[in-house]
Amino acid sequence: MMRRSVTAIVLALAAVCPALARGDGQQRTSSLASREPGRPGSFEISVGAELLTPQALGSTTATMTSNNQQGTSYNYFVVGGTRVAAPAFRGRIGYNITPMFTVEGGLVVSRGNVQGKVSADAENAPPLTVAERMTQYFVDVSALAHLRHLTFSNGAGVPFLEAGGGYLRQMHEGNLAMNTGQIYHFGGGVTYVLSKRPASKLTGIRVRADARVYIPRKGYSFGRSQQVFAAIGGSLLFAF
Amino acid sequence: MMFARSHTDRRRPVKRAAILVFCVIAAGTPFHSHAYQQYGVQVGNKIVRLKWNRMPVQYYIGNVGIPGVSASQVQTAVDAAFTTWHDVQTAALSAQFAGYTTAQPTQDDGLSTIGFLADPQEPDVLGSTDWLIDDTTGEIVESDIFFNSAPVVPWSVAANGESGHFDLQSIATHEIGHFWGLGHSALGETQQVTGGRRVIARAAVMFPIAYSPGNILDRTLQADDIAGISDLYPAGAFQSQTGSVTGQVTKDGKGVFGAHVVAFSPSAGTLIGNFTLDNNGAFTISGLAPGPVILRVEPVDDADLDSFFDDPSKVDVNFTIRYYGRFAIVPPSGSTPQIQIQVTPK
Repeated sequence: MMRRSVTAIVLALAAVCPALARGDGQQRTSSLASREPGRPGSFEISVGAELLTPQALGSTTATMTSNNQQGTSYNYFVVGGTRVAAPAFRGRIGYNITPMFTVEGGLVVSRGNVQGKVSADAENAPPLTVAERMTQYFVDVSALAHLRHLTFSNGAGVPFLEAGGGYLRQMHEGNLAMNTGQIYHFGGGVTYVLSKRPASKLTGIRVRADARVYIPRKGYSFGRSQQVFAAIGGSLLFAF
Repeated sequence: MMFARSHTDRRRPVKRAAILVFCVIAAGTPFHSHAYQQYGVQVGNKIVRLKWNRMPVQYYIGNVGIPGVSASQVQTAVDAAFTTWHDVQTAALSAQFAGYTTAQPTQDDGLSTIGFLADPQEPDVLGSTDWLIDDTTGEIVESDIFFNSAPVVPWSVAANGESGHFDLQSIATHEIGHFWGLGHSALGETQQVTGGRRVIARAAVMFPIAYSPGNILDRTLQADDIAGISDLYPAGAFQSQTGSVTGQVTKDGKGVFGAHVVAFSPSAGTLIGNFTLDNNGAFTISGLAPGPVILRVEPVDDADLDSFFDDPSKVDVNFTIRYYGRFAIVPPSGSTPQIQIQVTPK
């Protein structure tokens, strides 16, 4: 029990300050180790894919004004909207401020169907689902905290937490009309070292798996301002 | 300059379907339903939209009141109705009260006269508008409005309406829509009752059948009215910030004339309608917020066909309601590609 805690403390120290753990008389090794992925001042580029979960766009009713003194609403028909699950491409550039913290700028591009379920027609027209294809762009900035005290597989796997926000642009079918807004996210994941090449410019390759919760503000909806959805994704991360 | 009256016999208005009917006299030979809430007039070989070209338009109030409603109260109600249209920020309109007149709103005298006129033979007609047109340009040069002062039509100018009485300002708002050149909208649901039709609900002041007495809802324009007047007299950001849907309604491979096409924007929550207006079944709906809209096609069955069309015999009402199977994407300051909607016979 005692021994395990001591090891954990040493690992944590090593993660925060790698130079302390190396000791004297290892100048060559130390020089290479200083080019480890995640070192302060280094850059990372990642490319990958996400799957966006379905997003409720709200429900709205086409109304007329009833023939009464109050002018109450008369339902002509109802439309409920959903953006169905959609794949997305993503690319990110990260800058490691410290071994613990990274800032990232990213782009997510997704194309998916928007469906509107038309029902409750005042004249009993049969229900119908109408659709269009919408392309979405998220341009965002994130802050990542690497949980180096929770590393596994001898330090190859590192969990992280992230949060950020950015610009949302949605182009409707044919790029004829668009909506814009903001989109915020939080989530987490792990990176896992596939290859370390401390002696080269490309210092390492990692795989990254993560999950995000997206919170759009404005953007396309049927009356609601926020429709939370999630994404899971994976990417290859190249460290320089 | 030649003038043409918009009708051949103003004492026999075409619109008389129900006891609550607004009336617009638009059945004269030179007229064609041109756009959803607008009229077209034949000038030479082309059809031009019926509208005023010179602002401000001056109008006179007939100096005849009726029991309970004085001429000055008519002026107050009519002024408020003109202001309602004038306040549409995406339309450039201007009208000016020029004074009281002894002229009746039936005379081709160069004065646009608004006032009461008894038409006891037409107790179902609340009001009527006609125009005098320069048939070399299609420009309106005079428009008269009368409110039926037959004893069977109870009127009110009470601020909050009056039970059992028709609100003069509401009816004036509808008639002034015609005054500017708008026709009827079909955005309404009615039910057949003894002697005519009763409104269940409406989404346009320009629907041809009025709300029940005591109701003042028609003092306020709806999206369909605003789109129509803005399309006719565009101003401000109307052209840059709205778009249109164009398409064709067919049945058995042939165009459908007179189908009512409604566009609903789920994000803006607006309903705006129009008709297919030629034998190819072509339609255009303007003044729509950019973005996806849902299109619904229905036969005109909630008011008399002659409320909307010169020649009702050409109108096809033998088809079932149909939604277009995709969202139509309205671009800003542009139009959708041609949309094809096929309907099936009942």
